[in-house]
Amino acid sequence: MNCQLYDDLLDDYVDGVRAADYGNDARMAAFERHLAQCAQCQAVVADLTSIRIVASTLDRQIPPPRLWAKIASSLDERQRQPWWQRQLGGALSPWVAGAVAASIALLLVAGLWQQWKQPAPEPQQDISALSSEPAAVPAEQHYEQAIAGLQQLADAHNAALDPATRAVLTQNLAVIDRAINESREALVQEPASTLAQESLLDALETKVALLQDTVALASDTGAVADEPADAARELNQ
Amino acid sequence: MRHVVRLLLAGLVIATTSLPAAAQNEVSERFSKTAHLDQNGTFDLTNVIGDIVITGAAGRDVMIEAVKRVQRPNPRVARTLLQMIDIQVTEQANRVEVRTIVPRPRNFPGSVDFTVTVPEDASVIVKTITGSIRASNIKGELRADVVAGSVSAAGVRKLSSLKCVTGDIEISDAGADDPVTASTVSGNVLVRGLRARTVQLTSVSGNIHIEDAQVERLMVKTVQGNLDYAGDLARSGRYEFNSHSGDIRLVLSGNTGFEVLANTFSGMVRSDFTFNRGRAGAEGAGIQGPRTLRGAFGDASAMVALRAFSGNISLARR
Repeated sequence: MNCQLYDDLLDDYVDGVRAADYGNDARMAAFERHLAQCAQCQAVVADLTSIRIVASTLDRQIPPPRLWAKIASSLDERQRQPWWQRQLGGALSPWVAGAVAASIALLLVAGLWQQWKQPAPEPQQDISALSSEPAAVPAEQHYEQAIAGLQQLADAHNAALDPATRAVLTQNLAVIDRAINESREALVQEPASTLAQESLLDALETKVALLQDTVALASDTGAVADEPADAARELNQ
Repeated sequence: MRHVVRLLLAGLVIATTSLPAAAQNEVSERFSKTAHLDQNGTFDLTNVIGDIVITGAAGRDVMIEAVKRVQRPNPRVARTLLQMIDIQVTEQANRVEVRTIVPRPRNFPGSVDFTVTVPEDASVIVKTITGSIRASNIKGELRADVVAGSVSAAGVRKLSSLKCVTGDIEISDAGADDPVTASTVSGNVLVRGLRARTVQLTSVSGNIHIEDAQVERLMVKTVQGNLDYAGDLARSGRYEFNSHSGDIRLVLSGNTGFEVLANTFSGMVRSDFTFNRGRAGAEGAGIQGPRTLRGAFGDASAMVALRAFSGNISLARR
């Protein structure tokens, strides 16, 4: 059986696409004939169909309201800003920071999606590959990459935040780092612990969210923080 | 004698440090404007520094009262700075927008306190950098966002999102059909009386306390804080509580049956309830160890998932 020839048609078939609906598409027709005789493909289709049914019953994931509020208010703000803020807005590039932060988040989601889509790797037979290192938690590296990028952005824009807010954010990032370290230590002791794995991923996810918020806050504030000398500067003395 | 000298020196230090560098003169100016909103309009306020109180009331008027304040040692400078605070109000397409414009918003030595009355069916979007936000009796949607300060929402019928970085969030007698999110970084979240379908409450280092909530899906998460829930569970409700190092405490009436899965890596699990192995009718006791609890109580119609890393988990009966 050449089941793998039809791998790319599986998703369409499960989504309801049939050869007859597309002018008797030759490949789909061939797949339908193959499917009628192949127990393995029938099992895959049944599996994917049940996943589809279960997925359709899941709660709709709605982006946090603050995301749209931020986008909407940013669009409005741009129009409403006085000329001097508009002039500075381009120079300070809060949009660039926001866009990069959003891109990092998208890459993270894409990475996790790829991870989920890819078939599980064959188990390692080589005993020398086993070591005392904790089993790598799937998706951890995607979070790490996202965190590294966001941290860089946050560091670059942090100065725009007022010192008290910056201190609170730093303290709370340290709280999350402690949670990450504790979870990693737990995984060294018990590499198979699902709870430690979940705790680690939760803490990494929380760190990503807090860094995204930090970048967004710093970008919002930064758009007007470096205003050049004006009358107020003189009067502020 | 040496004691007397020490006391005199201490007194001098206290007197010197408690004196302000220079006496501050406060100048203030009132601002007042009335706008109009038709049914289901939107009121949108963005402030920089200052407290905001928004109340829903009968009628179609939006009454905006504000007090601009500046404190400076030199009263003439204070007055000049006061004139630089601009409050812009625009009315367009059943939407009233208020913006506080100040030069150098990050360290401008002035503030604006707002007291606003809106039609009770209006949606409200409010945002400030420093200051508290208090919203009450609003039947439209409410979104509030503050960086350094607290948010409270009372009698809000379409709560949407409350967010702050360093302050507390307080929700009382509120409701929503759409998902509700409330998040703070270092503050606490306190909920007393909330009726909603989906609610997500998060804090990094603060505590989260929920009392008398009627929620179909509740997700509560903190890294370091404690999580407390007291009240009934909704039939077919789903509840997730997750803390890394904080404790999770549920005090339940037991009127609604529920299935529970509780795990802690290094804390302890304790329960007042006696659990069956599975759904209603299944025989045998649930699984209960020092760090794990799995079982069903009553008809198991609700689902409760509790997870801590080093925190303790307890299920008590009210």
